Amino acid sequence: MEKIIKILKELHPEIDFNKEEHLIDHAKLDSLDIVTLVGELSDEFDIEIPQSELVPENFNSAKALLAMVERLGG
Amino acid sequence: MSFTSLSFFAFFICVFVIYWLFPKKQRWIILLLASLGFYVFYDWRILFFVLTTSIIIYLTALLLTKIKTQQERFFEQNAELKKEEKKKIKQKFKAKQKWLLTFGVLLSIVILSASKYFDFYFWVDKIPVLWQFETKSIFAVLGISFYTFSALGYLADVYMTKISAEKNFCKFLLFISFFPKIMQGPITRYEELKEPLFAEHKLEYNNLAHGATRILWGLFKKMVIADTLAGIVLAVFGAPNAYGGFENFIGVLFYLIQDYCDFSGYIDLALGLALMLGVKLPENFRRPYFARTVDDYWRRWHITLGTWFKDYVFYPLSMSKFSLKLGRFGKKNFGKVGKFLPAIFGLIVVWLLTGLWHGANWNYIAWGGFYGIIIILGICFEPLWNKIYGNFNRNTWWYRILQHIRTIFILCVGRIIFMTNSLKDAWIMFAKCWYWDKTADFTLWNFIGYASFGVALGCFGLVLIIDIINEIRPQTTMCEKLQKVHVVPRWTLLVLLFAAVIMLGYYGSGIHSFDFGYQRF
Repeated sequence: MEKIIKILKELHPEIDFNKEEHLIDHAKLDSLDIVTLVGELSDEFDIEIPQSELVPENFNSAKALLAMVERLGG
Repeated sequence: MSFTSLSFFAFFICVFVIYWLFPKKQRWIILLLASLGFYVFYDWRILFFVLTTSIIIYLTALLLTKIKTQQERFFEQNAELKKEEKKKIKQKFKAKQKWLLTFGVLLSIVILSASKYFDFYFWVDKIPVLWQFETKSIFAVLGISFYTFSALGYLADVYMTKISAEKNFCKFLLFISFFPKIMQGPITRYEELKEPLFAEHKLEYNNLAHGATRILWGLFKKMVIADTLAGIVLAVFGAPNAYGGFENFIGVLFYLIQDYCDFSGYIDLALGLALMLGVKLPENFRRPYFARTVDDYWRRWHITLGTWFKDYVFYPLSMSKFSLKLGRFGKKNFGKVGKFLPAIFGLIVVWLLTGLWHGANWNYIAWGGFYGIIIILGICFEPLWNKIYGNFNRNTWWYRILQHIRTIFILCVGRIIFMTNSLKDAWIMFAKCWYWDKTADFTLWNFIGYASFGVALGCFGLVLIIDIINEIRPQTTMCEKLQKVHVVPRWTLLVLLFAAVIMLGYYGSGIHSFDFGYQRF
């Protein structure tokens, strides 16, 4: 979780990622952030994130991101 | 048969009556016949293009599904296979699907390119025996970019197993050719249109009222504002050197208004017409001129094209293995900004393709490049801006106004590149806008008369007021807000709108009404 928060903080230091649960629904992350996030997560956890995983439920919070990373074998 | 012509409204009334009188289950057949009929009335040759693309995409999608089913069956029957063997076989099936997808996409793009990027009649004239068409100077296949993109999106969704392929060809053909959206969008997804197109709708008062209001609003924007200003816009952009600096400047501002009223007016019409048939189409605009930044503007203007490029070009490119390698390279060599390299690579391709989507013209490519560069510079300089701004509050009213002015300025430059006949003209126009010579030739203003300008601009004021209200309260649509208003002012407004279209609208014998701007794409 800490690693994910750190990656997110580098993108948007102003957001409290421990609390925020609507990153996509409230447009806090845009498509550029998502693409950068996918690259960072792929490198950090040595996983492959397919495009079919690009759904709001997977990117709305740090928790959801962690669940996706674990599901993909990270 | 333009959407603003009387013949179209006669056609629509016939479709509307037959559609609602027909048994619920088969109503979609009326929509299909009406859509094909619309093409026949407009130009029957277009049907050839629509059918060819539809057949290619329909068959490719079915074959993709067949390969997937074969793969599933194979693994069911060979459950004892080792993990590595399974992986190899899976890759073989995937490779087959990739080839098929590439084949379908390329073939559709060849058809699109043949229509958009080649002088069709140059070739047609060379084979007069096979094609005995009446020669016209331009033969653009109506809405080809819009329906081809819808079809390609459908194919990609089937490939990614987001949706299953439609087995009924007639239903698929209706998804591609549904007439309210055919001329210039919105670009629809099968997932969102399947239910509304084939559901057994009931005739509902709300849909009729909202649909009719939307149609009236669209006609008002197009016929009263856009068409009144179109003459000036076309004249100035057609020959910027022939006019003074002030006229060029006003021409650019007028184009900003004309373009918005023309395109969003069409979308209002399309959404209204579809709603009267019980079909809800996606919105394509969200008050674009209220954007504070250029990327925000592109999330509000031609929304369905933007999301199409995002989902089917930007994401696949920026998340490809090549892009991930690029990201690693960037981080190693350029620090924090380097990790944005995959996104930057995706943006460059998307913007050049967006330019090309509009046509084979250096102006369009330069226009795409211009917006690509602006957005990429925004990304690269963001860390620097953040340092400079520090704790400065960027939400103060005056800073927001400055942001709006900056965005409108960039949009003006973009419009100049987009609309002029050549890059040289674009430069002339841009340079002239800064030099208001005293010898301005005001004959241009007599083109349609001073009074018409005043009326058109006054009417745009109304559009602006409605947009401001919607910007402040975006939770409900204009029609929903209007329904809450007391019956007297509501009907007064609707009657006034109708009267404005009849009395001030740009139509009638001897008047050349302008085509919708995006129709040519």
